[in-house]
Amino acid sequence: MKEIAQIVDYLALLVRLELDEEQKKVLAAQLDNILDAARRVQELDTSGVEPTAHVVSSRGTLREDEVKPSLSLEEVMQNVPLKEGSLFRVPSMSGSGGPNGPGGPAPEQIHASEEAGDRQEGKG
Amino acid sequence: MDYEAVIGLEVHLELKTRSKIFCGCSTAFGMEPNSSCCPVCLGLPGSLPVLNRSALEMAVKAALALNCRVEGRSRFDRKNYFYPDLPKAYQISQYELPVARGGYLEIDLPGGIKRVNIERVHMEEEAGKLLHAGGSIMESDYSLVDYNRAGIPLLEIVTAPNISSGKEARLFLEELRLLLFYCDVSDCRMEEGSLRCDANISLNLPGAAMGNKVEVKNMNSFRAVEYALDYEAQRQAEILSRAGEIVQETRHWDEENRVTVSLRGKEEASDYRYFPEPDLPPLLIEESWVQELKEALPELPAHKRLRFEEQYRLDPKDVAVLTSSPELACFYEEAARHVEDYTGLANWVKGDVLRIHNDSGKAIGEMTPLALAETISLLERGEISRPVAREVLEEALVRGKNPAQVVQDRGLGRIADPGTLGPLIEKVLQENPKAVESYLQGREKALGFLVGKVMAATRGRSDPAAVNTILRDKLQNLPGKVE
Ligand SMILES: [Zn+2]
Repeated sequence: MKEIAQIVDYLALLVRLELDEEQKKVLAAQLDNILDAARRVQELDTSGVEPTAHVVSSRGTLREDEVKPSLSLEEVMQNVPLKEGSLFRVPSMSGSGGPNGPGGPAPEQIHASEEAGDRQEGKG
Repeated sequence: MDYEAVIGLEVHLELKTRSKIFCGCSTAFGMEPNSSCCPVCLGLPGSLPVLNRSALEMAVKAALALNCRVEGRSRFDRKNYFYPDLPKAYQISQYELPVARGGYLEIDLPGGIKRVNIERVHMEEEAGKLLHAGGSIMESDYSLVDYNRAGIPLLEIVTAPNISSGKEARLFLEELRLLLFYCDVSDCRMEEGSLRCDANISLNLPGAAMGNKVEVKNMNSFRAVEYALDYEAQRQAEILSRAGEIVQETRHWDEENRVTVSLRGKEEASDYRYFPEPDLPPLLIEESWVQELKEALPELPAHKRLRFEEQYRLDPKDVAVLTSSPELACFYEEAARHVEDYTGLANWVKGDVLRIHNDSGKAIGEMTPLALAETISLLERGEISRPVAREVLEEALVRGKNPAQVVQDRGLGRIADPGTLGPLIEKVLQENPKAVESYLQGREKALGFLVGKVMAATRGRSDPAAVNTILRDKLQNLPGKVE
């Protein structure tokens, strides 16, 4: 199915994943199943039914504006593949266009095959 | 042909809560990177956000101050995008159902008051901060991320496109900042990033359909907003006047070169795939609570300005300065309860009080207005001279002292005692023989000159009347005086 292949490509772009042909094929089949389920739901007649985004309709609880202890820096950094001092290190985003970023060329893609473990900081 | 600019603003500002919007991490500025993070704001699996009551309260207060309708039912949505400044890969925001809609803010223009309409006000969380390592920004080979800012509550205010110039945009932002200061919901410091502003601008001929919109970003001060929009309006007018077409795009303000720069080709179409945030229930706001908050709003700047003009019969320019912060306005009003000359008082507050505040760093809110009133009273009663009054005021305000006590402690009162003035005056006469001679030849003006010398010798503390009398007396009885 060409259409589903295009959707997979587009989603991969949105989530910054580089997929090989094999991975794309697997994901296309899975996604097709998911979309199929959604299509079946869409067949139901929902006229006169209010959209329900949440199953609860209770008013949410609020928390008081009090500062609680954060995680220790050690805990925050526990699973970080790459760091520099107390900062997370990520591929260059300079000039790239996240909605809050400075805008520019697209950020580098993080390769899907790259396991976090492979990118552990070298010398330790 | 004269084109009309159609400008809409999108303002993001940080709400000044102690903790983040959905977790208890501190919002303090300048902490060690990533030391104010927890499972919620890092988006670790299994964590759940809970809305901060103060953030909601501040959002509602701001919305009310902007004359908006607070929605009884609103909702949080996920704005999905993959970028390292978002630990969760989505930002919790409000998309379809914002917390408030449909308000306005009035700005003062030379031609009268203009109402800038507000389309919506919504809450969202701040993203983390990206730092670019390596040489120049474009060449760095990796980036660094600090998530301390991730999860700080933001308010987004979107205006209708009914702003017509860069100047109007700046005035709107200045008035908005003042309003939010008064409501005590944000520090609105653009330099520190607690207020950001993006703009949409298009041009059209009067009565014609709207032109293509350009989004302008990266404006880092109110002045920059004004310059960038004026530049952009001119750029578009030039293109249109030679029958060119405006490209619908995002442009960045380049502060150094004072131009807007296209990001064409470098931008991907955004597709945020918004959907309702399943981890937060719908936001239900009770009308009675809104009413309570409305009644508790302080007097807002526009109202205060009008009242100051009427109640104290002050010039609008003076009023603008006096109401530039709630603390300063309060200081003036407290002092005014004990002073009759309101304009004189305004001059003291605009001049000396602000100077003392700037020089000493002492907060206006920590200064005693009564000290100013008493200093003015000492001056009006002739107990101290004006230069002395300024000195006394500084000491009284900065050190929290009683002005009369300062005068006494430092011996700053008027000198009228002939025993003290006599020798001083004799010295002045000896040092200024020409003026003495001139007076003796019948020139009254010379007397004024000599009085001035005596005053200067006592740094303005001598009593002019006493100096006059003693001076005349001594001149009458000068040895060797020719009749
Ligand atoms: Zn947190």
